[in-house]
Amino acid sequence: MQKKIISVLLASVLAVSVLSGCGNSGGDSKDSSKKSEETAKSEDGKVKVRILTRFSNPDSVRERYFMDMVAKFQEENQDIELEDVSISDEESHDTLFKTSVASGDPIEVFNFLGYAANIDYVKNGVVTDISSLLEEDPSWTENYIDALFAPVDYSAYGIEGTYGLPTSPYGVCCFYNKAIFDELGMEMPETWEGIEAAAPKLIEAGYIPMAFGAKDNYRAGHFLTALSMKYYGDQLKTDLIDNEKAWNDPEMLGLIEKMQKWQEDGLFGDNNLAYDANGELAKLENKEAAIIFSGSWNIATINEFSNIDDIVCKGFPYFEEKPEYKDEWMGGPDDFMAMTSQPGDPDYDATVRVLKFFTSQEYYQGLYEAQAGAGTYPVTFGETIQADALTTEFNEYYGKASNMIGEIEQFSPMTSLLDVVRTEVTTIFSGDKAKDIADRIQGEVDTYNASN
Amino acid sequence: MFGVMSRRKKIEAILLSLPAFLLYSFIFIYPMISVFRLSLFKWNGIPNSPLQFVGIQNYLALFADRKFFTALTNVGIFILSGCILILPVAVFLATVVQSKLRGKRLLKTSYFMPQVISRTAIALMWYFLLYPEGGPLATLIHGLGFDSVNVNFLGSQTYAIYAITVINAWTYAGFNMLIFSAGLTAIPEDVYEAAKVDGAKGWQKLRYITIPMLKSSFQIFLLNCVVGSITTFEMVYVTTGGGPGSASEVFGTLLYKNAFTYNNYGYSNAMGSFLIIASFLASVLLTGLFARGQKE
Repeated sequence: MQKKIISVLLASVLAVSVLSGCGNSGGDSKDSSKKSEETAKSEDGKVKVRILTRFSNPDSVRERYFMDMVAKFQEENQDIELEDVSISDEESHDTLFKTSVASGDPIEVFNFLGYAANIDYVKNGVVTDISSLLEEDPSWTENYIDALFAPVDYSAYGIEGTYGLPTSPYGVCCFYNKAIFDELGMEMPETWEGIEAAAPKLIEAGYIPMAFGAKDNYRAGHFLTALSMKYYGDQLKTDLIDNEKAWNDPEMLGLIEKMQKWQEDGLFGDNNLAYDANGELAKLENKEAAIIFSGSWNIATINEFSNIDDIVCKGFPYFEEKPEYKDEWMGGPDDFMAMTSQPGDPDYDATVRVLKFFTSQEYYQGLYEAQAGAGTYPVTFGETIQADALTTEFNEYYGKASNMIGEIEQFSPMTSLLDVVRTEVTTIFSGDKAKDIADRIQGEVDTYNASN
Repeated sequence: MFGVMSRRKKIEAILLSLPAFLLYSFIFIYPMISVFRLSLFKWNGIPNSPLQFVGIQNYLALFADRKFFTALTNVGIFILSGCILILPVAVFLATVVQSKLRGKRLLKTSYFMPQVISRTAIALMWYFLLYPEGGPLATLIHGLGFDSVNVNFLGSQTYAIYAITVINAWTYAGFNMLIFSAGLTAIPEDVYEAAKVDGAKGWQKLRYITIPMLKSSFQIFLLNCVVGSITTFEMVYVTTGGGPGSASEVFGTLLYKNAFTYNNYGYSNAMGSFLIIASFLASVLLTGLFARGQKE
């Protein structure tokens, strides 16, 4: 009997052992974010600083430029060991940062997302207030566009200071493969009504009217916000965030229903869950898709397409029935370079040097030249480069924008809302109904509201 | 256990066990206690952020979460698929490698191969095998003339979890083959010879000798299958990420998302506690069941 009990216990212990990695001992280690001198130094006595961005894909001009600049910084700053831990995938990027914070060793320079969704990092002192640094060195940011700092300004929540520097202002736009439209003798439609009318002809000719790479779930989030701006302006965003309207009220439900209908009509093509945003670009270049909805961040990459002369940039389609919202955009500031080292930390000075290097006017001037003037920048330039056709077309639309917001969920303090909305809306591509999707999102919001 | 030992021997035994016990406590017991403790708090994963005691609130939220029940169902599917797919294949493969077949060593190595490949690599390999546009399976099915069949299994809310269980079976069949192969080796040849003298045929030998004498192998298999299903993560995470929507969520992916995407560490630890308890209970139940069967 005793032997049996021992064998049962041993088997149980074995099973439990497998799971013991689930634990997390953090939470009460008040000073765990304070670095010791030893942890801040590498083996050869250099000060170690890590930098985390979403720039790790050498095929992208912007990301390749960043990687080159990491090498340049390392060459020019022999007393600092700069470890580039960047990763393009958004979820992996966020997880890496959150894990470093939870383990009490936050990555020193990182890509902060700002907005209300990330206020906890500011409130709890993870992200450093850099306002005193900016005051000490006004030339650092003299060419920055002031309006881009709004998502890292938390004064509305009673928190003063500046918590990052904008890196990538953007606008959600569309790229058209003009050759397809020319071949079919069609005009490039700029409204949803026009796209709906053109879709059957495009599908019949074997083209995807508008490729939608839903494997990246952020595509669904971007699309929904851009669509809501063209139909309701930013009022729907305000109402949803203030809980004046629910996600399953007729307004948002109607938008999700539109997406569902377009999916069912074949407007987005097939197998959307099998390819991502890069897949969209490939389909545009390979002449499989007539239109992709994308963003200004891809202009430099598209400029390297073999068929660049066929590609045209236009704004996100608007509704003929809602002309008043034609110039309402999803876009603006996104991604901020921020730091976690605090004054007094042994790596503080080195971290400031890294932050300044990657947010300097020189850095953006180099990027501006590397991208041959393509794309959008957080700073203004003294001498402008004659931009490429796509950038010129983009700016033509972007310049007319009467209002711009980030993704709706970013304005909510409910951290999980961004992923919830993106994931749920993505299920349109696996046959889910709009009503069920909207109900599930609202269910999560209700649960959050009940416990906060 | 120490009943017949002298006092000196007892002290020696305790002292010798102490380092291992302390190491084990530090590596396993302490994190487990932390999991249970943190499950009673609301915490956003920021060390400077205060822990807010919420009692059993996280557990109540867990049992009210529809995704939890989706995960529970999917774990059930994993366990069932283990019994339906892995078990017979593993026993069959074990029989093959225990036979007098030429080249059985090569077969044994081939069957075991998935076990030494990283789970992430396996998941990626299958992801491309099942790729709906130009993937080998899609090409084969469409090449056979079934053009209307949509082979986007991993992108289907209905089929995603089943596709993952097939990948799981492919991965683990070889490992379980070894368990049954070891069990078969332990059965003395003279038992079969005696049965042959008594006129036992192939099926009777299987029914009355092989299966009963493989009991401990079945026990190990079932324990691995149940605990492995409850704790499965990487295969699901790499192939579907728990989607589409939450169709293929398992406890591991939910735990991961709640901690690292939603900053909901208290809830995530409640799920971790549930996993520990569920695995513990499953182990105790299974071991108890087999022990009772042995007694009978």
